[in-house]
Amino acid sequence: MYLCKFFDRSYMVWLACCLVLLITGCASQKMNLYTRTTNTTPVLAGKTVAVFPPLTVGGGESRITMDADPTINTVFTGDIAGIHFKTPQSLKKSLQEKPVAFLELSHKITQGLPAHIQVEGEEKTVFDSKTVAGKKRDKSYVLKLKAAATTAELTPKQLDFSMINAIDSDYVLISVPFNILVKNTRFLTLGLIPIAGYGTMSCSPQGVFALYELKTGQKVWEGQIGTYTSGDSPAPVSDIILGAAYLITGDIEVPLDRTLTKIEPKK
Amino acid sequence: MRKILLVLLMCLFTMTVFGCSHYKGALAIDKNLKTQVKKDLAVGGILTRQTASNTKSAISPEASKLLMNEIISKNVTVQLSSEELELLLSGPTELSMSEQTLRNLKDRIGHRFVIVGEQGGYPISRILYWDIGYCIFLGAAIICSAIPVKMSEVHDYFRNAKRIIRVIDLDQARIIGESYEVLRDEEDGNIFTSGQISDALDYLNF
Repeated sequence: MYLCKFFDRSYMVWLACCLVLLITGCASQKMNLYTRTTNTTPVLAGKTVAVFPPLTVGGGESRITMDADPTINTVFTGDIAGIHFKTPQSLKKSLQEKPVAFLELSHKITQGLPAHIQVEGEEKTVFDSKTVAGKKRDKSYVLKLKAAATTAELTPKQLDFSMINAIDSDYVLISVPFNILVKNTRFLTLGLIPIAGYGTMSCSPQGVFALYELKTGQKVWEGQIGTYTSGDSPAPVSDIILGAAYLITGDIEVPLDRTLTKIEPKK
Repeated sequence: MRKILLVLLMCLFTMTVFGCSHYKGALAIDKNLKTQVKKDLAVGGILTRQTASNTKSAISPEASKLLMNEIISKNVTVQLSSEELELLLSGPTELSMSEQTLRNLKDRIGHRFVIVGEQGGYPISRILYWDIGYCIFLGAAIICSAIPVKMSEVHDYFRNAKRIIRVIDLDQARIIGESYEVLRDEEDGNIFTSGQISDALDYLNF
C-alpha cells in the first residue's frame, strides 16, 4: 500500500504486467525452428531405420558434432510412431570394419555444405504443453516451425551403401550438423551521417538430414533445419535433432521426453 | 566542412576499434590429461585447405614450422602424409570409424597424442544494417534509440580465413582439444601467425 501511494498506480500495473511476462517467459522452453524439405517423408511405420553417426563438414568445427552425437543416440533409441530406429552406437562395430568406405561416403555427403537456410514460410506451433508424453514437467515446452518446401538439394541423390558392411535395415538416416556464422556490420547514423560502425559475428546451429533407401541407395527425403539466433547465445544443437525427429516421425513428445529424461535427474 | 570531416574521421576510428569481431570456439584439454598430453605429444603439421569442399589440400611447411617452434621444447615433429593429416582433421565420427588406422599411426610415430592444424577459408553470411539513431526528449529524461534498416544480405559468399588447432588421442580415436577460429578477413594471403598459434594453444589450456 505504501508503495502504491509512493508510485503512480498505472506504473505499478505496468510493472506487475512486466513481471508476469518475465516469469511466464522464463517458465517455458522455446524451440524456434525453420525447416525446408524436398518432399513429404515416406510411410515408415513398421520399417527399420539405421541412424548413422553425425558427420562433420570438411573444415568445420567438430564441437557441434560432439554435442549432437549423444542427443542423436538418445532420441533415436528404439521405436517412435511405429518406426524402429537403430542407434549410431549399435552400428559402430559394423561401420568400423570399412573405415575407408565410410570416409568416402562422408566426403560425398558433406561436399555441398555448409549452406545457409533461408527463413521463410508460415509459422505454426507444433507443440505447446507442460505435459510431455503423459508426464507433467516443471515448465512448458514450445516447438514452433516455419516450414517451406525446396527444390534445392544439398546431399547426393544416390549413394552406394554396398561398400559399407551389411546393415540390416530398410532405410539409412544421415545427419550433418554445422554452424552458420553470420557477420553483422552495423552503422549508427544520425540522419544520413554515420557516426559509428561496428561488427559482430554470431553463430547458429543448422543441420541437414537425409533419408536413403538402403537397398537402392536412392534418397527418399531431405530436410534442412535451422534455429533462430538471438544475441550471442545460440540455440542448442539438440533443438535441430528434435526438429528432425518430428519431421521424420510426426511425433515430438516421445523424442522430447527422451531428451528430458536424459537431462533431468530421476527423483 | 571541417565538422563533417571530423565526424567521418571519428567514424573510421570507431570502425577500426570495434570492427575486429571474429568467431572463436574452444574445446579445452581436460586438466587431468594435460600433463600426460605434454609428456607424450608429437607435432603433426598444418594443412592448407582453401574451401570446405576442396579435397586438394597440402601441408603448409611455413605454418607447420611455426607450430613446431611454439611446442618443440620436449616434443618431436613427425612426418605425416597429407592424407593422414586430412584424416586427423576430419570429424569425430570419421575418427572414431578409423580407430584401427589411428592405433597403427600411434605405433608408427611412438606417441599417443598428436597436435595438428588447418588453415583455409570458411563461408559466412554477411548482413549490413543501417541503424538510424533518434532521441526523444521527455521532460528531463532523454530516450535514445535506433531503428535498424537491413541494407544487404549475402550468404555463403564471403569466405573468411579459418584457423584450427587440434589435439587428438590416437589411442582412443577422439579429439581431446580444439581451438577453432574464423577471422574477419578473407582467406587470400592469410596464413597462421605465431601469435595466432600461441593464442590457440592458450585456448586449448596448454
